[in-house]
Formats: sequence, structure tokens, C-alpha cells
Amino acid sequence: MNSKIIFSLSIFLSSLIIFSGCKKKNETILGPEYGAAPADFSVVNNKFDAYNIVKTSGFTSGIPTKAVNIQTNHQYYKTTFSHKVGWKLTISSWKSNAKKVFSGYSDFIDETNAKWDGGSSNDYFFGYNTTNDSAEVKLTFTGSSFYIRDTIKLTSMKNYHMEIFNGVSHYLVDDFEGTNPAGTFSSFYIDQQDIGGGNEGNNAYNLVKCQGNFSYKMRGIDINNNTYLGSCNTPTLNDIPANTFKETDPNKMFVNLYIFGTGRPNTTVSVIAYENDAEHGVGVSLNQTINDKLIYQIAVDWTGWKLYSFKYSAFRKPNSGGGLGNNRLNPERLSGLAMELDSYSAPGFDVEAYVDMVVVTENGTFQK
Amino acid sequence: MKYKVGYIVFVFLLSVCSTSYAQVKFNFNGLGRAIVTSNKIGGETLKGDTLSPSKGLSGYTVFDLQPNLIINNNIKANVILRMRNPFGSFYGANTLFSFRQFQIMGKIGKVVEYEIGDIYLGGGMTSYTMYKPFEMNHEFESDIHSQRRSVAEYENFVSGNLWRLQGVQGRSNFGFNKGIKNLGINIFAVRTNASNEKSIPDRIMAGGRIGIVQSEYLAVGLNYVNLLDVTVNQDEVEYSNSVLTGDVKLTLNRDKFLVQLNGELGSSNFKNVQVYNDSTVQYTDYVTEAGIKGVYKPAKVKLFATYRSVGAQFSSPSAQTTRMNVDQPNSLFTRISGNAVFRNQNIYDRLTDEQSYNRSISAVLYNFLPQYGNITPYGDATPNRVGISVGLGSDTSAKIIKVEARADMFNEIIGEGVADKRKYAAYRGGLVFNFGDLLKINRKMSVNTGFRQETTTRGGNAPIDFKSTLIDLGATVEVFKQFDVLVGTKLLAASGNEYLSVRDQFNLLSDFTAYNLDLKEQIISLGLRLRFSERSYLTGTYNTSTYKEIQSNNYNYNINQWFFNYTLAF
Repeated sequence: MNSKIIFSLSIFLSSLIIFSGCKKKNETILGPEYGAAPADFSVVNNKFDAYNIVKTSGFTSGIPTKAVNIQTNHQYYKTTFSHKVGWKLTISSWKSNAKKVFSGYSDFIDETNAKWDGGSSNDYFFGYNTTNDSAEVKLTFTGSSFYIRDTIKLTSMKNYHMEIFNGVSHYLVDDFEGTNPAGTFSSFYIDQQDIGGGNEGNNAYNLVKCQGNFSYKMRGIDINNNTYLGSCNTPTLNDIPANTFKETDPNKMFVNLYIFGTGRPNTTVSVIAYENDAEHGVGVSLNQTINDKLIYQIAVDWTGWKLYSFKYSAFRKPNSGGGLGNNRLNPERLSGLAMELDSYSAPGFDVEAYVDMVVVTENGTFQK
Repeated sequence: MKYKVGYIVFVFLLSVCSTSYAQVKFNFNGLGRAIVTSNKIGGETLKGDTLSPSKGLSGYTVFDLQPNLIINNNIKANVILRMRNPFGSFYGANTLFSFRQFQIMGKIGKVVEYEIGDIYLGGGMTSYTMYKPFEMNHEFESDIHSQRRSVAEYENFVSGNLWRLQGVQGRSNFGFNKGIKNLGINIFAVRTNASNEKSIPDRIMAGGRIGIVQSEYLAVGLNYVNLLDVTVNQDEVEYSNSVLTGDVKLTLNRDKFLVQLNGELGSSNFKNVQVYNDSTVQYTDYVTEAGIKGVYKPAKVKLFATYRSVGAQFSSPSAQTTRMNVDQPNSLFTRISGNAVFRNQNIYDRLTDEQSYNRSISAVLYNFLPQYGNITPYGDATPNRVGISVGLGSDTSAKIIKVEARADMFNEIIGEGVADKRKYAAYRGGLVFNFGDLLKINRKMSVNTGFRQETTTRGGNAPIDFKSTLIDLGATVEVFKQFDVLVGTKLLAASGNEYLSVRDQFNLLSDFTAYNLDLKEQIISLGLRLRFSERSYLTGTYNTSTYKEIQSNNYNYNINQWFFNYTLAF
């Protein structure tokens, strides 16, 4: 019996030795650093001044008019605190629900820690109706009810087309405002056998949108149970000029679009890509029989807006009508896009989705 | 859909087996319950508010019928057919028929016990691997409150620290003559989230335990749980989180005393791949526990001490998912302040609301309210804790008096948002005195009291000083044969400041929200109970609940409720 006890004890002690030999973490702080404002905290001279930096030249100036052009300028506030403190700078659009949040732990704010390029932290964009948005700027401090606020007027929207943010190139296919270089998506081609099911598409729908004034609405009932409700496309399917995209690796090019889901089951938005394999000239309608057509299906099973990004490599040839191009994924040859509303995987349903800001990016996903 | 398939299978089994097997046994059990409540809300917050509902009469009748089919030891099956009728509907209008449970179980080759369908998980596993942590110190709450809690627990399939999920489970035990005494194996696989067959993958949880009893002195075990996505063609996220621990128990059991040493060591591995942009978040962390327990049998007294270190990024969803969801809107008087603001959860909601329980495993830690438990809101597996627990109490064989006192002293391992670490202290305990047993009068007569006090402090740049105290008092007196008078109260006071953590999709801290509170809560309950059997009874209780945030009239209200409950279990 004693040998059993000794054996058992030795097993237990061995376990404890293993316990003590475990690797421990070297981190000193978990999460973002912060600190509370002490009782005698103050903003030095109560100064909270707004500045502009011209994006192209870097020229900096004050903004006494409080009018901010976020298309051409960066914007920042400059202020100094009596103590190092945790702070949060929140810019909130009055009209579009857009919100941009900066936070930090320091005794100052300037262009090094809160430079705003017009982007947002949520799924909405600033600059509603281009020149008709204003925003509240509110600076709050950790552990304190004290705050400073300001109001600015936004005279433009942030431009994404042909811009590079964080090393990611952006090509705006359509924001449904009717002013896009690549042309706008067509009106909705409804499955004729679904007519009577309240089917509609509206490429200038202004009640639900995350950017600007309009989104693209797709809605209807799949009466004939063939899953297809309708589709739309860029005008000629050959609307993006050759050499626009440099990326040849389909894993490094992305299609990004904002989709608003309403919770209707089986709602699927299919994104269809067309490649100009036959090297048609610009403006010549794409011959679908001699060029590749690719499809990617998005199950819209959420409610509200969501940025959906996927790799070009996720495109597949459809079961039929895939075209006879070179049968390879050539992202650099992307020449046009189409969108389709489906009742999938179960046919026959009442389905609905809204799309805004269709952007193709290279070297990363959409940078808000 | 899943229940339709289950029902068809069950009916098929029933019809085939009942005609084919002469020895088939078939029996029923179930539960019928009728509940009626009359509710009223008032107080400063409701003054002048003509939009928020302030009165209500509600309730329901449920009848759960469970046919059990026992073909032989190899195949048994049961379902629970539920009929639920809301209070106030006539002639069966709005009656809901549903299947509440589907189970097939039995033995394969006299060696493996199996269960398929709705199963309980966690039996025999540890509090770091598969465990539903308790939400507050209600072990010593009054009879009137624990009976009320049991209604919500029944509706949510709550059974101790077990999780109720849908899947398959197998158990086997092997006895040996040499080397070891016994080898036990328990494995399971369940699905916690269904695929949309396109972009969202099935999420399954699989694991088990191997336990070896080497002798009366030594037992060791290995526990493993993996929560992971089964990849689909267009998935957006590929998630996996595995937890592996080993435990050892050394026991010396003599006539007068028992001494037990125990330890557990393990690690978790979190991985989240964002497929669309090829980014991966991955981290590993550890858990260690070592403890000693002693029982002096003649005095029926036990003592214990436990050291615990749970890494800051230790991730074990099946042991860290909270019992209650504080973000779930309350069923009772959901909105206040002009019907515009969701009423915050209080202890009365936590006691009574059938909708506030979590029913599945979450990959991200849920939010919690510090006043209801700040030290270990996610149970023993609460991440970022190191410290000791010591306590003493009555042995489980004590019938007349059940008493326990316990102290927990913990620190954070790594500061959250600041270099300074929180320090936690908790003192809790309670007493149940069955004086009916002491007087040998064969009547149910008991008094109880429970106490829990927690303090959280931190110095430095973001100081914290938060304290909460919870007191339970109650009594049950059987004045006539099987007719009881019940009284009970819960008092909660919490004050100070804290910072609530905000976590991102990777379960990492992404922000902190300042939280200031000066709160007093109280429930006073009085009732009568007529018992027909151990599980069948009729109760009528009056409950008054007060929630008062000092210095804020926005949250200063009281809820009064009449509650009638007729329960018949067979």
C-alpha cells in the first residue's frame, strides 16, 4: 500500500512541476491603453481648433468657417490637456448615421493621432447628398463627464475612385449616384414570368442607402420557382477600360459591395463578372459567347447594412452560359459587372436586397 | 425541420417496435403547469409617463407530454410534445404545438452507452473545459425564490452546470484487474450553429474525457473540447478553439478523515481566419489549478484551499459562456421612459425571466453587469485571474445544518488598458437550518441566509473602487400537513466605479466603457404553497421588487407582482 501512495504522490508532484514550468505571457497591458481624467483635469486654454491639410500638397490651414471639404482635404483638431488622459473623438453625421471614432491615451490631440480623411468607423458614409451634411465633433475623456464639442459643415464626400488608401487601389464601379466614370448599372431586368409578384429594381432608391443619396433596390417574389428574379449590369459589360487593373493574381483582387438585408429568407445576391478575353475595344458591347463569365453568390442572411468583400479567386464559372473565353481567372481583364437577385437555395420566396458602393480593389479589401 | 424529422423517426420506431417486439415497454411522464401573473410597475421613473405600459396580466398553460419507448437496453427513445396556450385565449386559440425534446439512447454491445438528440454535456468534465458557471451566489436563497427560479430553469433545460445541446454522446467504462482499476471514456459531438450552405459554415463542438482510476489513491484525466467551423465553399470566417487539460486527483480516505489533493493544467488555442483577406488571429494561453480538500467525518466538516491561474487570453467557450444574457431585453415591462428605453436587467429579472438564459455556446465572451458578479463572471474559467480560494463548510452528509463560508482573493495577471492590475476580494457563505429535522416533527421547517460581498480595487491612472453586497434571507414553515408558508428577501447594494470591457470578434479587448453605479435593489416575497407531491404543487406569492439608482431618477422603479403557479409533474 505504501508503494501505491508513493507512486501516486510522485505522479502528483510531477504534475505540479509541469504546472510551474508553463510559459507565461510577457505582455504588460491588455487592450488599448487608457487612463482616467483626474479631478483637476482641464483642456489648456479651452482651445479646440480645427485644421485642414490639403491631400495633394500637404498645405495646412485653420478652418474658421468650419466648412470641410473631405474630398480634397484631411481634417484634424489641435488641443492640449493638463494631464495624460484617455480620450475619444467622435465625429457624427447629422444626416447619414456615419460615425468616425478616434481614441487614444495622450496629453494632446493633433494630426499625428486624429487625422480624419473623411472615412467612417461604421457602415455609413459622410457627405450625405454631397453638400448638405453637417457633423458633430465631440471630445470625451475617460472617467469624466466633461466634454468639448464643435460642429462642422461637410461640403463634399470622400472620393474612392482611382484612389490608393493604405496601399490598396480602389476602382468605384457604381455608387448609384448617377455620376460614375464606369457608367451606372442598368435598370432591373425582371424575370418576365415573375411579373405580378411585386418585382422591382430601382437604381436610384433613396429611402435605404449607406452612401450618398441612393442605393440599388432589388425586390420580388420568385413566382415561377426558378430561383431567378432579375438582374442588372454595367451598360456594355465592357465598361472598364483595359489596363485599369494591374493585378494578375486573383487572390489579391477583391470585389466589395455594401448590401442591406431585410431578413427575408433565401435572399441571395449574385455578383457576375465579365472578362474581356477577346480584347474588344472600349465601348464595344462584350460578346458573351467568346469571353468568360463568372459568378459568386452571396447569401444575404443579415439585417441592415454590411460591407461584403470577397476575393476574385472565389468567382466560379456558372453552370450554364459561362462563355468561352480562356477559362481562366484573369482579374486584370475584368471589364464589367452584373448583379442578380435570386431566391436561393430554396426557390419561390419573397426576397429583397439593397446594394450600394460597388468597388473593386487591388492589394487588399475596401478601406473605409 | 429537425424536429419534424425526429418526430417521423420516433413514430416509425414506435409503430415498428410496438408491433415487432413483445417485450417493448412504453410509458409516459411529463409536466403540466399553469401560471398567472398580475404585474404593476411604478416609481419615480414612471411618474408622468403615459406611454410606457405600467400594468399587465399574463401567464400561460403548458403541458409537456413525454412518451418513453423502451425496446430493450439497446434502444430507448423519447420525445417531449409541448402544448402551450397563452393566458387569455379561449377555446384553444393560439395554442402552440411543438416538440421540445427528442432523444434516442441505449447501449451498443453492452459496452458503449450512447445518446442522440438533445443531450446534456459536461458530466465528469472540469470547470475549465465544459461547464455552465453559476451566475450569482443563490445556493442559500430562500425556498420561495429557488422555486420561482426553477420555473425559468425548467424552460431553459438548466441542470446544474451541464450544457444542453443537440448532438451525439457516447460513454464507456472498462474495469481492469491489474495496473489500473478503471478506464472511463466519454466523447461527444454537437452542432452549435447551422450553415447557410454558402458562406456560413456549420460550427460544431466535439471533445470528451478519458479518466483513469489507478487505485483508491490516484485518478487522472484528460479533457478535450474543440469548437470549430466545418469549412464550406465560400466561407467568410474559419474559426477554431481547442482546449486541452489534464487533471490529477490524489485521495487518502480513512475512517475519520479524507484528504484530497487535486490539480489541473491545460491550454487553449484560439484561431480565427478571415478568409476574404487572408488575415489570421491566433493565440494560446494556459490554465493551472492546484487544491487541497480535507473532511473530518465525525464533525461533518470540510476545509478546502485552491490556487488558480487562468491566463489573460485563455479561451474556453464551453466553460466561459455565461448562464444569463444581460443584453437580452426583459420580458416584463420591456421598455420604460416613455416606452423608449429598454429597462435594464435587475435581480428580479435574473430570478424570473425565462428569456434571459443563454441556450448556446458563444465564441466571444458575453457582457456582464459587475453588480451581479465581478470577480468571476465567467466562472472558474474567467480569464486573467490568479489567486486563491479558501473555505470551510458542512459535509454533504449533514442534513440538519448546511453551512459554508468561502473567501476568494484574486488579481489580474495582466492589466486591462493600464499597467495596474485589479485586485478582487470576495466573501460569501450561507446557512440552511432545517429545524423541522432537528425537532423530528416531520414537517418542512427551515430558515436560510446567504451572503456575498465583492470588492474590486485598482490604483494608478484609472483607479477602480467597486463594491457589491448581496444578502438572502428566507424561511419555510409547514403550518399544516403539506401546506407551507414561504417568505424570502434578496437585498443587493452596489456602488463605485468600474470599466466595462468591450470585446471584438476575436474575443480581444477593443475598448473600455466607464461604469459608475450607486444602486440598491430589493425583493420581498411572501407566499403560500400546497404540496401534492415532491414535484407537484400550487403556489400563490406576492413579490415586490425595488430598483433604485441613487442620484438618478431615470432608473428608480418598483415592480409588484402576484404570481400563481400550479405545477403537476408525473
